[in-house]
Amino acid sequence: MTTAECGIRTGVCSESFDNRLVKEPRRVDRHALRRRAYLSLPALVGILLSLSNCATTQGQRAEQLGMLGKTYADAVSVAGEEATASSITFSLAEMRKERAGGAFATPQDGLEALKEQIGIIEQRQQMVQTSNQLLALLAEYFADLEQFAKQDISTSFETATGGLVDGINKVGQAVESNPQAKAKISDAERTALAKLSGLVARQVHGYALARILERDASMIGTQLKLMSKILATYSEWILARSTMELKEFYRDRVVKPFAASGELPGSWDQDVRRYLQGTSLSEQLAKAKAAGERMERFWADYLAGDIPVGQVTADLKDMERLFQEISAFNKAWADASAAKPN
Amino acid sequence: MARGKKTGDAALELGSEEDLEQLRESTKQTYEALRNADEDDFPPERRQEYWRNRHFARTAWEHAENAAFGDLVEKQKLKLPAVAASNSKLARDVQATTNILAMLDLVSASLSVLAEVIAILGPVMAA
Repeated sequence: MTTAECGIRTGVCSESFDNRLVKEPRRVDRHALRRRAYLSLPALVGILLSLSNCATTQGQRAEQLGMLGKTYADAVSVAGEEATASSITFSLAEMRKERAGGAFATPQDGLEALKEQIGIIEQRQQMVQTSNQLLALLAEYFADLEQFAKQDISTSFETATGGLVDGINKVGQAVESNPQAKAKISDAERTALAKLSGLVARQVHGYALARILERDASMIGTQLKLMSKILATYSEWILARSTMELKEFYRDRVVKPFAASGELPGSWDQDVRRYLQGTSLSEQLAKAKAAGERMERFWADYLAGDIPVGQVTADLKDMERLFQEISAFNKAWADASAAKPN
Repeated sequence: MARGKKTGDAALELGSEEDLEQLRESTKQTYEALRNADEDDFPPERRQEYWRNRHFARTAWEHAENAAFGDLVEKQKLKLPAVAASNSKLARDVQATTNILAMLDLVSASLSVLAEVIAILGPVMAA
């Protein structure tokens, strides 16, 4: 059942339910009223039960979206930290090589270059930090949405309504000045009313969630698109550097020693293995970048009901794991690159 | 050396998202081309120049990357009010549900108190 179908059906049902309540005479014969109540209560419960699937669907969608949005925002934040660390490591290693190669003619030139480099890094760190702060606000929204969707409102309403019925009975008994007077609302009726209120509450909750998703659709769509672009940018920062380093590593540590005459250095096999490991991670990174770009189109597909959220969430978890792997690899890579071949 | 920064800043002020992406890509390609050239292929008197050019190209690329990312962060900031508004509306929705439940509890508690009062005052009034 789609959101639209649920929304429409919920609306129709609410209307007929309201009409029934409005048209109900306030003062009629007590027995007749009770008979009608006995007849109409199961019917109402039946209708509401048939609609409870709608409420459940809305709740599940909102809960899944909340979880997905939170996971996504968190994954992008982690990627931001990794991308910053990766670009700093790269820049510093390059500065070292450029200095050794004689890129700075005078000490003054060198100092100016260093100052500019630090400026670039600081600007980048600051922007990533700002972006992550804004993402945290969005993550908070998604976390709240998930919590609200998870809330078991029907049980609370059943309890509260049961309490209300007890209160009404107590007043009724007190007014008749007879503590032994029969309760005005029987235990069976009390249970039925409480259950009915629980079902109504679930319907109202489902409707409220649908309204929230509809109201915030534009904001969610824009933010998901922005997050995708940010994630693609971070992946590109890491991927570009990793690819450049790998190329140079391959040329200097794999090809050159092999092409040279004489014995191969002892570390050559290890260097080839490092290169292969790096290539494999680069391929995965390219996939992460592509996943970021795919997520740009996610919202439209999600609204159309074409995307199972569970799959997307699993993809994001994989992405998070990948960035952690990259972090570990980069540390090992920095050590390997610094070590001279023997 | 300051040319790279100026290029990046100007693009940030004037360029569209596509312009900034194009700038980032072209500076990256220039830098990659320099990296692909092997230092050992240059005569010793031209190696310093190679490294200087490589440094300029890298700096320009990093400025261009920052400019493109800065544009994204600016867009994020521009959309911040919408996120904040949705956050507060959602908080109000959650609060409204809590209020309804609290109201039901309050009414049932009040009815119980009322019943107690009637039970106590009933015999007194009858007498």
